[in-house]
Order: sequence, then structure tokens, then C-alpha cells
Amino acid sequence: MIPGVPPAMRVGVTGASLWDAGGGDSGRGSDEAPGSNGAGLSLIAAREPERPERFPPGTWRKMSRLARLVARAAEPLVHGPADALIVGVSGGEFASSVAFLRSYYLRGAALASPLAFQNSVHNAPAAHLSIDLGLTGWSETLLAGEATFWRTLERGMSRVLASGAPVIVVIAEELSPEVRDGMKAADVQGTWLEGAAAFRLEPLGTAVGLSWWDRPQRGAGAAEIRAAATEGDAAGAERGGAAIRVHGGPFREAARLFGLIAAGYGTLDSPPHLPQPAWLEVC
Amino acid sequence: MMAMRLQLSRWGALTSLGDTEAGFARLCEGASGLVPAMGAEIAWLSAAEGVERVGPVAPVRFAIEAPRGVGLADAALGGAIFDPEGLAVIVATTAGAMVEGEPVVGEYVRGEPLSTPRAFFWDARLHNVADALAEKLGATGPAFAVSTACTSGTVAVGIAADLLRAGRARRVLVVGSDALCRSTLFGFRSLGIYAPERCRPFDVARQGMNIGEAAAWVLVERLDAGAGPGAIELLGVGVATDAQHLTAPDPAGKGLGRAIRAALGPVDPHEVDHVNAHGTGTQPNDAAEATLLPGLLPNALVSATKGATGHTLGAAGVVELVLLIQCLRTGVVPPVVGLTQPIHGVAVSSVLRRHVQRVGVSTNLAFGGHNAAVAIRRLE
Repeated sequence: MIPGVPPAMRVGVTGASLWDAGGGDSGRGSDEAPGSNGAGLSLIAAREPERPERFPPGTWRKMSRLARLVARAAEPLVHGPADALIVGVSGGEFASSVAFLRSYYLRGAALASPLAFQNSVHNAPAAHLSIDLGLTGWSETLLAGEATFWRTLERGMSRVLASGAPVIVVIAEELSPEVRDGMKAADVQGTWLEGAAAFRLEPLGTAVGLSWWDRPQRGAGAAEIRAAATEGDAAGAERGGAAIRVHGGPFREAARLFGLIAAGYGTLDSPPHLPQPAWLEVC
Repeated sequence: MMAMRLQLSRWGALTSLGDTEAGFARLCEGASGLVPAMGAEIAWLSAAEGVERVGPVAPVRFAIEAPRGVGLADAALGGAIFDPEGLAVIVATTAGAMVEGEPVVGEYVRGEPLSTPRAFFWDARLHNVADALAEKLGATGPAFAVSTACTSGTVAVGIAADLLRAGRARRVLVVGSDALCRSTLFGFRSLGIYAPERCRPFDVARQGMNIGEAAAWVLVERLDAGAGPGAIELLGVGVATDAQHLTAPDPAGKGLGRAIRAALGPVDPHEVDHVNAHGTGTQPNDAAEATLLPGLLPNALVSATKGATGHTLGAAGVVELVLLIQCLRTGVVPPVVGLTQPIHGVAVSSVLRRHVQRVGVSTNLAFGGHNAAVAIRRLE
């Protein structure tokens, strides 16, 4: 906590769930590709998501990997039909989008795949959850690139405060072959983790509290940080200079929060390359 | 404790009909921006005007100079200036900056070298549009994209309300933007719901939808104590899901009904004067709204604008909210373009109607049984 300064937001946490690589047994393997300047891109995959009983096998087979990751993490936290659902993903249903365009380009417009199109809708993971678990309340999908963990959590907490009702927040990342190839094509360097974490947030009064503090900007303002990050990423990569650097991705931060909640206490600071710096405390 | 009252203080739109004022005037004249498309696969579509005027936006963010998905949003903003302190930017979209990425995906699936490698995935991610706009505007608040298919724009307005009430922003710019692209055009065609003719919302002989491109925006802020007559209050946004089917709505519109009631809050549904309905021109969507609306909002005239603009997908919620604001301010209900024989019982018309409106509702339905509604009130 920051002495004398109240948190900007505070909610309760009544559940958390994680689906990750499981101690290195990823089921899909990890790989490391050398970048243009010799540095690498380390991609760490999650285990194949197991089907929860509430999802029919036929439906499960048709769902994208991202949707299965979201469902696997969120399902244990769903208590009733009115639970709100907020899903955060940095890249959305990219693999399904490529699958649809593959059918369009290789088979022709007349034979483009309707199933791939359905799965390519970025809200499809949330839609599957609502249909198969009977959720009828508020539902949305948010995308914020590397800031996805922080923006989704901020959004989930704001929804709890505005509605006074439970919200299940899910942060998920997929590493399909298409995403891997896309990151390598962009000369992204660093580490990126696949997986899904879900948190059940409720109004205060629960055993574990989650507080959000806004940190003062570190020297530069949000706009300057955003612009500087852009310069460092896109322009640098175009010039063949500094490549795009990533720092684990949104799921890594979600997994860290899961660990804090499991322990019942701890703090998590937003990384310096993101605008609107913040600080979370679990206690 | 009473919730913070909010207003839509500024707005704008760019559709195939033109910019905010010119486009609304053409809508009221019964014009349509839907035109026959080149090629046999897609019959009718609408392209937004004026995007070619736009220069590069955030040129260092993207490998290509100016993605149309960003340029479209920038064109709709038309150089508008906002106080950047505490300004959040939410972009509602289904395709984002994907348009230029699609040919690169074509190269990828054919096993060819990628002509613009970053456009394949990294630049095509949806949040780039929000970040590019936030950077240009100097916004110091959160920036992200929301994508719930055709309800995205309305959901984004609801998120804006929550962020303001939770103290996460001082003002929120909500932008709906979707450019024409292969994925959506041929995706909806693959589902068999793309009309072979200009779409005809709420017509008994409707054959499906047409896609249009557009961008629109609203600025959501706290309602000032001194807000005067004509100010547009945001009463609320409701979101509900049918939990039934991936691509078809509940036939009775039950989820949409819950969304409308949530948007209205304590306001009596009998007070609603006008509904800008989703009205895609597909059989199931229009039937669901036609079943629900007369009973739930018995005093409301119904309009539907997709026969004029096409279905603008992720932008639709914001585009149609801006049109609804203009209806409340001018006291007109535009004609439903393409309508010849209305579904029985729905208060639609093919001619312009003059009707004093104080409370209006705009509805959207989406893939996944997703429903959203926004309610607004013109202060007197």
C-alpha cells in the first residue's frame, strides 16, 4: 500500500483459476527462434486444455484453442447465470481468422468456411461460455496488446464497482502456429507465455481484497510513453535496429496475480514500458 | 447512492452517406449509400466517403503507411480536439487494421514470402487502432479495443460509463470503426445471410444483410449540473446474452428485452419515443425485434438505418447512436430505406415522420446471442 493514499479501486476476490504450461509439460512444446540481432523469441505453450464436463464433446471439438483455454480457466468460477464475463486477449482469434482466410484464398470465396468464420469472431470464446454455461448477463471481449492484463483487470474492477455484482475476468493468450509465425515475422524478441487465468471479482466483504493504485507517471506522461514505445518498436524494427521486445505477455502477469491470490497477499507492479502505470495489492 | 449522471457531449460520424450533418440529411431524404459491388460473389455494399483525404496516422506504429481501419476513424474525428488529461480512448471494431493484413495472410497460406511481415499479425491486432488514436490525441487515460461483433459500439459506450463512474477517466472517447474487408464480407456470405439485393430491414420479403463501412464517435463525460436544454443524457447501457445459439437470436428477443430494461434503468419503457433498431434485414434478427419491441416499448416509433448505411458491424452501435442523437435533436424519424411491406405490428415507415422525441433507445444484436441497448434522453 501507499501510506496515506487510498486505492483508486478496491474489490474482493472469491476465486481464481489458472491453466498454464504446468511445470514445463506443455503438450505442444516450446520453441526459441533467433531474432535478427541474435537475441531470441522464447514461446512457452500451455498444456492442451481439458474439457470441462459442462461442455459437450461436439462443441468442444469445434471451439478454437483460445476458446478452450478461456473456457478451461473460467468454468470453475461460474456460479450462476447472472455472472458477468470480461475476457481480455492481446491478439484475439487470430488463428481462426487465418483459418477462414485460408479457406477463402485456397478454396475460393464460394467455399469459404462458415465454422472458421464463426470462430474468428473475437468474442467467440465468451459466446461459447455463455451458451454452454448458461450465462445471460454482461459479457465483453477487450484487446489491449501488451497492456491487456492491466486494462482487463481495470475494466473488471470498474464493472464490479459500477454494477455491484460479480464479474469473472479472464486473461488468455494462445500460441497457435499462426501466432508464432506472426511474432517471428515481426521480429519480436523476448518471452511470451500461453495460458489463461480467471479471477472472480465481487464487491468488498470477501476474505481476499484486491486494491488498485495508480502510480505517478515515471517522468514522462502516458502519451510520451506510448509514443516512445511505438518508436522503439515499429520504427526501430523497420530500420533494422532495435527489434520489438516483449516481456512475457499479458498471461505472465495474470499468472503472477494468481500466485499472489493463492498466497493471500503480495503486490504486483505494472512494467515500465506500459502507459498508465499501476500497482496491485492482494491482502 | 445515486449513480453519476453522464452525457454525450460531442459526436460525429462518417458513413457512405457522408459526414455527420450531410449524412443525416441524406438519410432523411431516403438515400442509400449501398451500391452494387464489383464481382459476382458480393452483390451490394457501401464504402465510406472521404477516407482518401486522410493523411498518415501514427506512421511509425504500422509497417504500412495508413491502415484504412485507422484512417477511417481519423477521418470521422475530422480533426476534433479533446482535452487529453484523463481522456480514455475505446475503439469498437471487428476488423481493426486487418484490411491490409489480409493479402499478407494470403501470401502466408500459399507459402509465399511475406511482402509486409509485420502486417501479417503484429500490426493487425485490434488495439493498434486505439493506441494510434490515443497517441495522436495525446490521451493520458486507458486505450483499448472492444470486440463483441455487431454490438461492439454499444458495449463500448457502456464500458465508458463504468470507467467514468469508477473514476478511471475524466472523459471517454468512444470510436466505432470498421473498414470493408474480405473476412467480414465473405464471412457473412459463407453463413448464407448476405442479401442478393439492397437490404430491406423489417420488410416481409427481406433476404438478408449488406455490409457497409463507417466510423463514428461520441464523447462521454459527466453531466454538468448546469447542462441546459438540448443536452443529451446517457441514461444507460444494457448488455445481455441469450445463451442459446452461436449465430441466431432468441426468437422472442428475450435477451434484448433484458438489455433494453437494463439500459433504461428506472425510466418507464412507456416513455421511450423512438427506437433505432438493429434491423439487419435478416429473417431471424428482424423477427426477434419485431416480436419484442411493440410490447416492450409500445409508444416508440421504430427506425432502422442499415438499408441506407449497410451493416457497419463493430461501428454500428456508435453510428446508430449518433443518428439517434440527431433524431432526438431534430424531431424527425428517418424513413426505413428499402421498406415496402412492413412486418405486421412494427412501427416502421418508409417515409420520414416528424415526432417530438425525448427518450430514445438504440439496439444491437450480435453473434453469440449477444444483445446490447443504449438509452438516451434529451434534456428540456
